[in-house]
Order: sequence, then C-alpha cells, then structure tokens
Amino acid sequence: MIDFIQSQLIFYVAIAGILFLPGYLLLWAIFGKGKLGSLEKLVASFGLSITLLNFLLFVFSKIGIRLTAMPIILGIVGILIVCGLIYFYKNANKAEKADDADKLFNFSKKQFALILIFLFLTFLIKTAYLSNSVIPTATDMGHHMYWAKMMSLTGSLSTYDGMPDFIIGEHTIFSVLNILSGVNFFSAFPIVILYLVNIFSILAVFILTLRIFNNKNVAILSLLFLGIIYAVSSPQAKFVSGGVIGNVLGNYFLPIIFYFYFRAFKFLSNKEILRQAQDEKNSKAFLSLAIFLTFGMFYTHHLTSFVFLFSFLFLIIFFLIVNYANLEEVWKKTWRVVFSWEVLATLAICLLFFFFIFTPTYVSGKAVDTAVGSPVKSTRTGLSLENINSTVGDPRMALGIVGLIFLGIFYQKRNFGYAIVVAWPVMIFSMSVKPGWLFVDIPSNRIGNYLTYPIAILCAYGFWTVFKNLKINNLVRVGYFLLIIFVFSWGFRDSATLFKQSASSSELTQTFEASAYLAQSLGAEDKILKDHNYLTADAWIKLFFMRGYRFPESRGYFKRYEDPTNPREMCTLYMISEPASENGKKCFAESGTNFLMINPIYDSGQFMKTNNFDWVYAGEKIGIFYKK
Amino acid sequence: MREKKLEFFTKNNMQQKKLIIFIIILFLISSAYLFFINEKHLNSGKDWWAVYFVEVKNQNLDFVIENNTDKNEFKFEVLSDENVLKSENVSVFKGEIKNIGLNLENLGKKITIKVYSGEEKREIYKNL
Repeated sequence: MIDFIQSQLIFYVAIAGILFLPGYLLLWAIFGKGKLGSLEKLVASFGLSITLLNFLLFVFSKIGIRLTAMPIILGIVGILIVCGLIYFYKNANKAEKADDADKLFNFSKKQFALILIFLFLTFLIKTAYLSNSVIPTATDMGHHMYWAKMMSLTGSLSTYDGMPDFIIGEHTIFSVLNILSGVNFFSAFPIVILYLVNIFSILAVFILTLRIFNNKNVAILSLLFLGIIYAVSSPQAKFVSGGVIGNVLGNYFLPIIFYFYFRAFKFLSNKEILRQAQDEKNSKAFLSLAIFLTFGMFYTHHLTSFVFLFSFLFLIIFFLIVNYANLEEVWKKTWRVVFSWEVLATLAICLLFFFFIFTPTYVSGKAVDTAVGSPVKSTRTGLSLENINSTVGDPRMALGIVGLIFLGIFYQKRNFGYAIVVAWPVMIFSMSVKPGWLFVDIPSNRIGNYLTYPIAILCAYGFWTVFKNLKINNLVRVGYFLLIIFVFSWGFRDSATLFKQSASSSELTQTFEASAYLAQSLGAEDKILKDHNYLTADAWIKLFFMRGYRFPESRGYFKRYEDPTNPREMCTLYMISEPASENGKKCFAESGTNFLMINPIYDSGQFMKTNNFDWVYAGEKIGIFYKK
Repeated sequence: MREKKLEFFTKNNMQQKKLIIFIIILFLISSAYLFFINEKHLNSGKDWWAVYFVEVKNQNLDFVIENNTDKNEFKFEVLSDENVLKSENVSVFKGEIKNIGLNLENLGKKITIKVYSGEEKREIYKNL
C-alpha cells in the first residue's frame, strides 16, 4: 500500500511538473497574473507544456543528448527559470491589474453550483465507464505504448520505421512520464493521461465558449452537452479507453488553438482601432501562442492538423466574405498584429523546428498524396446524413442545426468567435459528407467524429437562445423543449449502451504471462507469429520483446486477407491457418518463423496434426507452438 | 475605485481557484481509483492454470504447472507415443508455480504431458 501511495505521489508530481508548470509559467511570463483567468491559465498551460516539452526533446535529439531523466529535468527547470525571470523582470514593479474580461469568471452562486455539479457528473460517468475498460487490452493503445516504451528504452525519439501513421507528439508525454516517474506502461497510466486530456478538452471548449459569447450560461451549457450527455461515445471516453491518442489530443488542441486565435483577433469586434498599446501587445502575444500551439498540434496528430487547416482556411475566407464591406478596416487593424516581430519570430522558429530540427514522419509526398486527392474507396467518399447523425447522435445533430440557425439570426459579423463557431463545424461537415469537393481522401467517419465538439457549442448556444430570448413564441419553445428532452434521453441512453462488461482480466493475464515466458526463452534468431483474431490484448505482446513494431508478426483479421482493394501478404494467414500446407511450409522457410502464439480453442488442431511442431505452453486461452 | 477593482479580482479569482481545486480533487480520486482497479484486475483477476516446459528448445522434459485457480489437486500423465510412462497426482496451491522434473528412459518419438484438474485438461508435447 505504501508503495502504491508513493508511486502515485511521484506520478502526480511528474504530471504537474511536465504537463502544467512549463506552460503556466510561460503564460505568467507573457501576461503576468491578470490577463487570463486562473482556469484559462490552467487549461491553456496543458497544451503549452506539451508543446514546450516536445520542442525541448527535439533540441536534445538534434544535439545528441540522450533523453533520460536528468537532461529532461534540467531542461524543464531551465524553462521554468527563464519564464520566472522574464515574469519578475516585466512585472516586479507593476501593481496587479484586473482584466475587465475576468468578470466573465465571476459566477453567481447558482451558476457556480451548476458548474460543480456538471463537472462532478462528467467525472463520475467517465470514471464509471473507464473502470470497466481500464485494463490494457486496446489494440491502438498497445501500438502507441510500444513506441513510448521504445523512446524510454533507447533515450531517443522514434522514427517509426518511416510509418506515417505515428506522430511523435502522441508518445512523448507517455515516455517522459515513464522516464521521470517510473510508472508502468501496463498500469492505468496511459488511460489516466488520456482521461486528463479529455477533461481538458471539455474545459477548453468551456473557456472558448465563455470568451466568444461573453455569456456564462452558454458556457455552462457547453459543459452539459459535451461533458455529460454523450460523455462516453466517440470521441470521448470510448476513444480514451481505446487508446485513440491522436484524436483525443487533437480534440483538446482544436478548441484551445481557436481560443488563442479568437483572443488574438477579438479586437476586430470593436469599431475603433486597438485602444491601447497594451491591447495590441496582448493580441500579438495571443497570436504568437496560437501559432506555437498550432505547431504543437502539427507534431501531435496529422488528421487533426488536416481538419484544422481546412477549418481555419474556411474561417478566414468566411470572415472576410462576411466583412466584405469593411475589408480595408479589417486589414488596417490586423496587419500590425500579424506582421509584428513577435508573431513573425514565433512563426519562423516554429518553421525552423518543423523543417530543420524535427520533421514529423507524415510530412512526405507519399503521405500528402494519400490524404489529398479524389477519394475512390467507399469508406472515403463521404458519409450519408444518416451516418453523420449516428456519429454525432441524431438529436444532438438536430439541436446543433437549430443552434446554427439561431447563430445565423443573431450573427455578429465583426465577432471573430462567431465565425469560428460557424466555420469549424461547417467545414468538418463538408469534409465528412462531400470529401470529393475538397479533394480530401481520408476515411470519412474519422473526420465525422470531430463534429462532436463544435456541435456541442452550437447546442449550448441554441438552448440558451431559445429559453432566454423573449422574441421567440411559446410554440417554438415547447417544440424545442421536447427536442431537449429527446437529446437528454438519447444521450444518456447512448452512454448507457456503451457501458460494457469488463474485459476479462483472466484472459489478459494469460496473454501477458505467456509472453513473459516466451521472452525468457527467445534467442536472437527466433521469430514469432501471433494471432490477432482470438488472443486478448495481443497488440501489447510486443512490449515484452521490444524487438520492433512488427515483432511479433500478426495474423490480422480474416477479412483483411480478402480485401480486393488492398492485396496483402498471405504468409501470416497460412502459417497459422494451414501450417502443413505447401504455402505454409514455404512461408515458414522464407520467414524463419519458429514460434506461434495462438488460442488453442480455435487453432491448436492444425498444429497437432503434424510432427513439425512442439506444443510448449498450454493455457486455457493461449498456447505456444515451437517449430524446430 | 482601484481598491474596488482589486477586491473584485481577488473574489473572482478565489472562485476560479475553488473550481481548479475541485477539478484537481476529482481527477486525483478518479485516477487513483482507476489505478487501483487496474492493479486489482491484474493481480487478483487471474483464474486459470497453465502447463509449460521449463526449456523450450532442447529435449529436456521438465515442466511447470502454474496454478491461479482455487483448485489445488492436479494429475499428470507422461506418454511416450501412446504409452503411459508415468502418472502422478500433485498438489499445486493457488499462486504456486510447481516445477516437475522428469528423468525418463526408453523414450519414443513423441513425449506428451497431459495435466488434469477436475474436468479440465492441458497438453504439451515435444517431438524428439
């Protein structure tokens, strides 16, 4: 018990030191104490810390410093000291200044109680769901933790054997936390970290909504629509338990980046030019941080970056079209901010890192060709409205559309935030429904999942507008009320159906113990093939060997061997399904495979029929055969 | 006026601090609970037994019975081709890993070890 408490304490200290302090002090250094609310600082510091950490690791990697505990700690401490010195230098003689906008965070007692209740329920529902799926079984999580462990073991950044589907930012935080706290990859730690990211993504939407609408009630409602209703379905707790790291992180980065862009261009809402030099300075700082976080996202997830770039481009075009009559004024106001030395220097540093210090693996002609172009595969040609509705949830989609209509009615064209709330969901909707129009060649359902977050904002806005706007007649209100009831019941039902029985820890431990046994017996020349169809947590087996991402080789899902659009090697199928066949023998001879990990209930018979294999490990759900 | 502003700021900030503390507490409780549940599953969620050779690649026939069930009584048979060379009952308690050494002569081409626990059976073999 004492060991457990001690390891927990070290883990949380590491989280605070790595995932919050650097960003928090950076915000202090830039803005002092007053410009952002404490909650905003906390939420933003998470993304800034991750980005600072990544940049630090890239520098270490470039100059050949091994990524071990001491250099990382010294690097983090260095960042903290620099930020602290800047803060004291800039603010030592200044009295604390309250920001007018901080009135936003002055909630009434009822509002404050409601926030606490919503947060409590958010944690409660998600924790209840995750407690059923916390054991390390998820395939994606297994793949990601392999790379994180590899970084911890080698002390260097992974190159992913050139595979563009893995991105460095998905693994650095896990690796560094493992290095610093010693926390085990097979513990709840990966899920806890993703859970934290998920919670902060909800808080990021909360502060973004609060700032854009300048309305506490709409922000509080966003907590309800994002945190509580559909709390479990994709891309929330379900993605957390599934280890869909990139999406979970991406759904934090998108709102927090939009938050900084909004604050950078908030001055566009005012008719006069920037009122004070301090406002202009702050806008430059916000824009610099927005750019910095954007690159942080580029280093974290390619699909999110792709979605962001399309949304951001549409946002700019949409804002300019809506403000067509005031383009000259917009230009006059923005150029001094956009072309300031602070912003340009930040952009230059980020570009320098991106192209010369550490370039993500997905930045290659091949990867771009894969993602951009006219989609052909049925999974990429767009979702039907029915698909979209099932992804987002029928009633929530309906409520979101209502919110969008009201936003159109009460649209404030100078408000950059309103443009964000429109452009963000509209572009994602277009990318997922009509990808061909935009030359997007990515699985459409993966894009559709991103709709959840902006739709939640629209739901909150629509909800509040209907119930507080006296101009709307009672009939509309009653109809809307019925829709809300529908959303609540559907949302909770949706979450309830996703609560699953706990995956069998007994089967999981069989896989792990058999893997540990095999790891002890393995020679340098041995090769393993395991089955993905019938073994529990098979993606985690590779963490016992750490001999490469494709070690052991895997017999994939049967349907993949029959996919005519993607012909693939057949040996992994033959060597388990028909080991005594000519194909099987040829594959064994060519690959040198001599160990097979299978579920004996389904796959032992074919090996028992030949004399070429010894059955060396027999459990209820896992067996190991050895080919001499 | 200035003092009023500062007072507002302090009060406002206290509310946010309470919110942050609330979030931190909820996270710590949830996280600790998830760690605890995971540990519980991995350590006490075992309900299986397995049989395996001590050495895989050679002709050594020593084997292990690893028991994580509540049943303690096991029976094993050693067969050379179809002939039973040895049959014995062993007790293996929950959590125990029992190493069983075999020193046999006149072996056939295939040595099979069958282990029984109640109605369950596991089988391992080596082709010599």
